[in-house]
Amino acid sequence: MAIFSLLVTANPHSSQGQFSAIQFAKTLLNQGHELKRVFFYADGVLVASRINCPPSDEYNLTKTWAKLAIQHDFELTACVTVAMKRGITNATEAERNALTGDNLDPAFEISGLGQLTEAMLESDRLVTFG
Amino acid sequence: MKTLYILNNPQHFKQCASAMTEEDTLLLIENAVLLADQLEPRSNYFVLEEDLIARGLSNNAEWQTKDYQGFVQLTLDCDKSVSWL
Repeated sequence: MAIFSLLVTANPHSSQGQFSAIQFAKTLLNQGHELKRVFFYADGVLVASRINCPPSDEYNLTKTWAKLAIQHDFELTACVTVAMKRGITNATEAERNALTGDNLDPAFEISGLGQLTEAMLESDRLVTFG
Repeated sequence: MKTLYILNNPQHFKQCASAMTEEDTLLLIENAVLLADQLEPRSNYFVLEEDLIARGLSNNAEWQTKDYQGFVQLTLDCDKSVSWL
């Protein structure tokens, strides 16, 4: 069985990439492979906000990622630089930058690009969805 | 080194195809599945079935199809994958 990591750069509000990545993740996990980390970069980080609030008849990508990650014990990591630029922040970064609030979903973490490099080194395959 | 090229934008096909060698594999996903209706099939070209069906093209395509299980397997059969965005 192989170890996978995914790199997701797709905007959750305007492209199909996040859906494709979720389908790919579910399939590899069903096949018995391991998912180490999903790294969100560029507009892909927009999915990490816990206050994303799509209409009730639409798919909630944030909750879907969170549920899948908790169920299968893999990491959801958003790049800190591009996340902060887009207003996605955790409490620590919010305080450091004197922001009035934070919005990172508790199933996600924000970290540096080193986490992407590590995922590439420690996984058999890295697949990108943009 | 066998590379899987994953293409999701039909407008980038030419550039993507010119980067490929004969031992490489192409998988069309998302909007790029529209190309399966326009281009000749090849032995190393595949198209993602779910995305074809979603666009009402499932009966038109003569291309070889892969479902998500086949997609995962393709990434393992090749040494690495390049997503041509």
